[in-house]
Amino acid sequence: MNKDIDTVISTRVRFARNLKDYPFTSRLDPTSCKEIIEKTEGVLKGFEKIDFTDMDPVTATSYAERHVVSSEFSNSKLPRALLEKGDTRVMVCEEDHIRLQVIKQGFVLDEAYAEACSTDDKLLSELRIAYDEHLGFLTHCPTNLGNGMRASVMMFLPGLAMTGELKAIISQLPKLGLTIRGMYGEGSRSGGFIYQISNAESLGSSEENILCKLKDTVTQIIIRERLARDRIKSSGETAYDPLSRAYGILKYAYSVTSEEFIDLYARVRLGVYLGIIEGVSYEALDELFCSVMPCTLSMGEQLSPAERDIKRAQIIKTVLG
Amino acid sequence: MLCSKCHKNEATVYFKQNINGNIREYALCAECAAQFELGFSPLNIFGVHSAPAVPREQKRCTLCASTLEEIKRDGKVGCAECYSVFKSELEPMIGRIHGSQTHKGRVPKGYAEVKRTENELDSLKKELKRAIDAEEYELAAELRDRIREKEAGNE
Repeated sequence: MNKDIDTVISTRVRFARNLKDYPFTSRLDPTSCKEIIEKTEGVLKGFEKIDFTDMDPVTATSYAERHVVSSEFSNSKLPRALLEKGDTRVMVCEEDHIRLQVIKQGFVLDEAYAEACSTDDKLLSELRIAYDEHLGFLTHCPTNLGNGMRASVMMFLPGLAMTGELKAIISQLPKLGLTIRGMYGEGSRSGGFIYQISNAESLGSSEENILCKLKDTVTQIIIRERLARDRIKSSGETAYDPLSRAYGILKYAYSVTSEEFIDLYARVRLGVYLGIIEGVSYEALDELFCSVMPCTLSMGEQLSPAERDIKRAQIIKTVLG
Repeated sequence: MLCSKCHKNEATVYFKQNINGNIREYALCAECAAQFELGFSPLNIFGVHSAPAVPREQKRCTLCASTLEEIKRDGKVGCAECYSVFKSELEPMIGRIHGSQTHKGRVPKGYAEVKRTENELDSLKKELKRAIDAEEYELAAELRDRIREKEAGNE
């Protein structure tokens, strides 16, 4: 089982890098975009290239739904490509020329950071990267200046949300230079009790300091989340009923909307932790989550929303048995 | 800054109108400025036509041609060079966002060597200028060769 998977769905470390000799992405012409893609591809040998330039919007959005690329990248009109190798993915011509990210299941900040660094080392040694000794890595948006790193931990916090303790935690995060967002990053809502906690600052703190602070905070939140869940458990069997019912609906429903699925998924995930629901792993639930999102479901076929909801229910049934 | 009349184009013409102490300031794009009726103008009474409004020259980035107005409007910088061109204007904004202006952390491989070479080149060039001014031509020739050598190695 992945580390702390009951409370942490995944860990992500990303670096923003730009080539010195080109304007930032929004000011690039298509020829320059292609040149940057070629240069990056030339450095990252062994990476598989997925060209997003003429990709149909449904397929492009399905990558964003699975957190493989950002929504900005999937919606962009410019030539762009994804370079992929294992858990390391490099978006070329995103907001910055290069957005390198490593996403791993569970709470594994050090491993994700080490993997990101090994690819970053290749980029930094072989490409002319925009850098200033005072401002650090120069980025399109000044908020990413400095180390250009965003380390984020996607947490599942039903206990703290249901007991109302989350508000107090959220109010403390800015003091620590951290921020909390919904599951699809900036501006997204937090469905399914899923929250992303990440560093807010990147200039003036080293990567190690940021990781250390994030690791300590997330560890504290994990402890408090488990205590909150214990309180829910001790509140008696009335708390169990909605969780078991959610499992029943997921297994037997004929049609499930994505909003309903997110709500039921969260209850079942909590039910697995409390030991009410057996025979389902967190990993299987999280994989199911990504595979039943609207565009991922519709890939390769034209489906109406009603047809999509029926197909979603069928997939859920297959996975949950 | 956007044109205060059409709110679409970049304002390039700025002027102040003072009618009986009632002061109004305008920032207009070239198109709106051409159509703008100034109304009462004391200059016209004496048969003198108002001087045509002169577009204010804006500083532009040497690499991507961005102006500071565009950077402020988008909240995004045009290219890496903009950070040098608009250094003094961007510094307060960066300070507000980060509370710090000193990078700590990863450095591109070889950056320290390139920086050291750049510093050495700077002092060699200063030395060369001094040698030429002092008419020490033998030393100047030697310095010139060393500069060429370092510049070739830095490429």
